[in-house]
Amino acid sequence: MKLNDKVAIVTGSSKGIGLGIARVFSREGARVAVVCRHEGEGRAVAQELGAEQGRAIFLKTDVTDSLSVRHMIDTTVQTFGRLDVMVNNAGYHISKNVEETSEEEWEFIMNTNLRSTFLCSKHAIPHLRKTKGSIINISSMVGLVGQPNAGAYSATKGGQIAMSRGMALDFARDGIRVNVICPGWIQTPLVEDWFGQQKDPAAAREYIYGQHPVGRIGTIEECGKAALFLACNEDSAFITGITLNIDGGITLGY
Amino acid sequence: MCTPEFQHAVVLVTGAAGGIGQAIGRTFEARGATVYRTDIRPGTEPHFITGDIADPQFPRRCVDQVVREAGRIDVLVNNAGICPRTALPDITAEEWKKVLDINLTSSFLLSQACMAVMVAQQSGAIVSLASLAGKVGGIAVGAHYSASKAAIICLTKTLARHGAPHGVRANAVAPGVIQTEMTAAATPEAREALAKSIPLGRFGTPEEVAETIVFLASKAAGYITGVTVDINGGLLMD
Repeated sequence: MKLNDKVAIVTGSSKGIGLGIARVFSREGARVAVVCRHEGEGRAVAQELGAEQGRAIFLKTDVTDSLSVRHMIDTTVQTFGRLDVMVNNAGYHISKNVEETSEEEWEFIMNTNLRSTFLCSKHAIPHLRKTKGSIINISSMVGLVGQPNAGAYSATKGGQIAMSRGMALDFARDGIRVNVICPGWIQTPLVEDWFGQQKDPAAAREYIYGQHPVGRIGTIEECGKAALFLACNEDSAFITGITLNIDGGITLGY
Repeated sequence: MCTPEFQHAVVLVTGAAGGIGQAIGRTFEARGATVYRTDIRPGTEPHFITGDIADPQFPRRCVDQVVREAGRIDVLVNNAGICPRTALPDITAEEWKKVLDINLTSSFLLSQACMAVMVAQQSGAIVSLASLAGKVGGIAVGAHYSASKAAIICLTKTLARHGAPHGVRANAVAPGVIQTEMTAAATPEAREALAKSIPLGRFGTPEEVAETIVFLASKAAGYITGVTVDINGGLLMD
């Protein structure tokens, strides 16, 4: 197992990509802090990952709030004794262009996607320095290419990439690696909701699948496997500051 | 760690006698793969095909032999390459052609031949060795080398696009400074200065390059295609 004796925090891990990452990490031997806002969902995932055997813990956390984030980090380290991998996955998407986006929505999405990455990284770094651990930030293909109706969202995702490169430089000499995953369309509740909201969900699905050269969208398991590669020091110890696309070739262009 | 992931897989590695090529072959074998190796230098491993990759007939002959013997090709690793450090004014047309033949044309011909096999199988993965020099231009290495590696990045995208509807993925890795015969030849002072310029403070190892290639070839990377993964210790983040 690739993450034996390692400890990871995965934000937004009650569903979607975060859940995929938490499951793969747990299967590979890591003890995992499951982090989200919803108590019921979070506890269920922690249960699934072996909370009763001391292999997982649920931490109800507001990742936009400094006190809450510090509590999340401190409790993880107190419970498991260390921190090796910080996965900043929590995020939200508002399908609006800049003209339609209210200032409140802008603040909300900036806080949820970008401030959270800043806060969790900031407070994880002292612990990651001790373990020569790593940070994995879950950005998006929208951080690399344009997408309609994603004005604020794309800014946060591009911001995560730029901040990751800076952090990779600043903390390389401490042995901390910082990398980014840019998923394309992945089978998540967020994406399924989006399909459901379209006038013709089946046609929308067919269209989006067809946009991907591989003819399908990705799975949360595949995102977990990519995060595992970046988290595992035996596999990727010389890799820092990269953005890894998991997108079935969609960002190759038209 | 040993996973059965490549137990029934047939892997073809070019340039298999060099430092990185040896690590690639070893790493796939450790995961259970049957590895065919090619190099112009003779090798002692089983399934070793000695030959000049710059010979335009050689790639087709290799692929035919692997398919005849093993019945399939699951992974092609385009690793063969030469890296002359000739300064720009001194590169002759002959030297330019030689580097492009070995580094680029051979990768194209091999990929073309393997693509046909993989499309028929409806599965397969191609991983090609690009380079940091293919993104930033040659600093210590020649213009022909860096141009050939930039072309590999673009060839990879075209292969990815072509193969995607047929279950064939194509990706590249772009190593930075790796511990090889070439870096070992530098003076200790030069090596130290170079290591200091790398954010992680050291050179990469052939094993680290090999692990990334194995990851890209594996099912774990089933949704990753057309990408180039940097293995450079933070020397370039683009």
